[in-house]
Amino acid sequence: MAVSHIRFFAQVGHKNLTGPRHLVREADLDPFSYFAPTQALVAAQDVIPRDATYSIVVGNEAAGPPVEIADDIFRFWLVPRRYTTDLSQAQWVITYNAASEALGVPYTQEIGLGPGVNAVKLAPRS
Amino acid sequence: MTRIELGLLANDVLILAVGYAFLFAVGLVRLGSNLLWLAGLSFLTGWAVLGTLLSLALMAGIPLEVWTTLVVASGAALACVAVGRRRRDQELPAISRPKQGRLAVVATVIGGVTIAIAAAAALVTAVKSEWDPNLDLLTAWLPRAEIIYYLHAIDPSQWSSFLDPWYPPLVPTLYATTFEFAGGFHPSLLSLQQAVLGVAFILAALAILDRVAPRWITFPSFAVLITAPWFWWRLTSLLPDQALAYMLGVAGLVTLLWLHDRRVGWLCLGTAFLCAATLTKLEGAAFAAILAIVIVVSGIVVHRRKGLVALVLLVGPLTSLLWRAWLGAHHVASSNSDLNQSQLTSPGFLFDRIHRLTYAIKYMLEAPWQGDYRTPAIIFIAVAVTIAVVRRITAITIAVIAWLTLSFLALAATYWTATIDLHFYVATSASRVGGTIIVSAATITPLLLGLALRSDGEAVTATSGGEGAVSAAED
Repeated sequence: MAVSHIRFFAQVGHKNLTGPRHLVREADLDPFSYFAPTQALVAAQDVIPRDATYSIVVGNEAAGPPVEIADDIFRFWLVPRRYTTDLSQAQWVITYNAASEALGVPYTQEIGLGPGVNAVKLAPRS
Repeated sequence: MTRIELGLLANDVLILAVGYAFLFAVGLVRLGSNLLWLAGLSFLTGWAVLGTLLSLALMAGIPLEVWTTLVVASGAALACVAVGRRRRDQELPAISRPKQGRLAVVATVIGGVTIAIAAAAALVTAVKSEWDPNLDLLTAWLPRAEIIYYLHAIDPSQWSSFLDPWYPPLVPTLYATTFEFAGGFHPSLLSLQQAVLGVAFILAALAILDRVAPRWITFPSFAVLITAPWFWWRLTSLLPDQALAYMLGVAGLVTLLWLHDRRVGWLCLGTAFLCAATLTKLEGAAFAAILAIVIVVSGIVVHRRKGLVALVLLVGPLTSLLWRAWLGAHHVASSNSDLNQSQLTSPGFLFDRIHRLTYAIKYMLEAPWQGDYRTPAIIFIAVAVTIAVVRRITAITIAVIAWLTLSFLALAATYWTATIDLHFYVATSASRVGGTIIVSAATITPLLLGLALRSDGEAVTATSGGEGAVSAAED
């Protein structure tokens, strides 16, 4: 049994050895490509300041991954930005397959991050 | 070499240096002899020691950055060298290894080649293939590494905003250290770090066992373990379960060696691994406590009053009190109420849910024989334990059986009292956490076999000479 396993592992190792090597940043993001547009993840990091508080609104305007997965991936990728589910506490909102107009809160800026994904800067509240 | 690769190399060299220094301090390495053979044990030890120290530093409010890591590592290494210099005259000379027969050489070579191929394949796969973003990683472990990396601290409010804030900090801390040295948040680099740790574990166990068991036993034993599919695939996993298995497996090995030859160096090393296990996962604290108590009791039975020195092992599981104190001081939830552990003393509650216990035990007993979790290592373990009992190394065999059985029951008890959906909970956690027990058992197996096959039953007094690998200071 160990012999058959080691042959398989050797084949896996050899296949990987002869395969292309990705850039580190691509390798960081590749596993998410099935669940979320990775360019949107990178752009969200650039657009939303590190000390900002943000929220995520996932809609169903287009077919996409389950809400929870998109939510988890963006939250994971955007640390150390503070996440909140309360829009009234957020400075930024990421809309994923959801219309920014439907947020129901005033905003000052809308920046496209990728297909179906926007970063919306909310208007300061008095 | 890129900036990132240089950073990774520096990170690993630092871990290695701390490990060598610690082994020197406790009298388990003779600097100047063949250090290469000790590289695995040194790396594993350095991972445990540096991980524990940096976790404690973070809990104390010291910011984690490259310079603090360098200061902590250098301070630890210098202190270890200072301690080791005072002990050097107590080290024992190496002894020569008896010449092996042709069949033994063949078994050793086949085992060694198998380990080398599996290890190389794992390392290459770690570099080239996609890392696996398990949901637990995305929602609990990696965000905490990011928090430490970006904020240089365990920020309580951020820490609490992710799943299960009571998870201990060692693995996120070491991941954050890797990010610091690599110069950026790069989760794809961690697979390689984990694979290096896994290979270090195999080499560490082989180096330790070289003192007590012939290589025709140890090499094929670890060839069987590393080629078990669930073990090999998890060599590159970022989940901390495999690291916990390494810590506990080697802790079991060295503490049982202490039971056999009473060299204090083994206890010091075991304490370091138990501290790391405790700060790696919650289960680590439980399994570490069980091992420490079993060794203390066995030590007192076998060595009478001189066995009391094993009480030092309790430092390992007690480290969890520091983490709980930090959680309490910062008003962060310190336990999972879904586990209902306080109900373990409530007979009525337990009786009403007895079906959960029987289901969990049945699942855990059957899983190693089915599907992806099937492993011939289990058969090997059963045979080894039987031989060991027959050959009457009674104390160590009883200690092993007690530790593994109690760990198994502790895990089953968790499923018994928890309020989480039973089938989901067992299916998603039993193989990972139960794998810790199997890896520990597989690590200890060659020790039992080696001791059982020693015809005179004498205590081990020195190292294998050819490699000059491990020597031990007398207590």
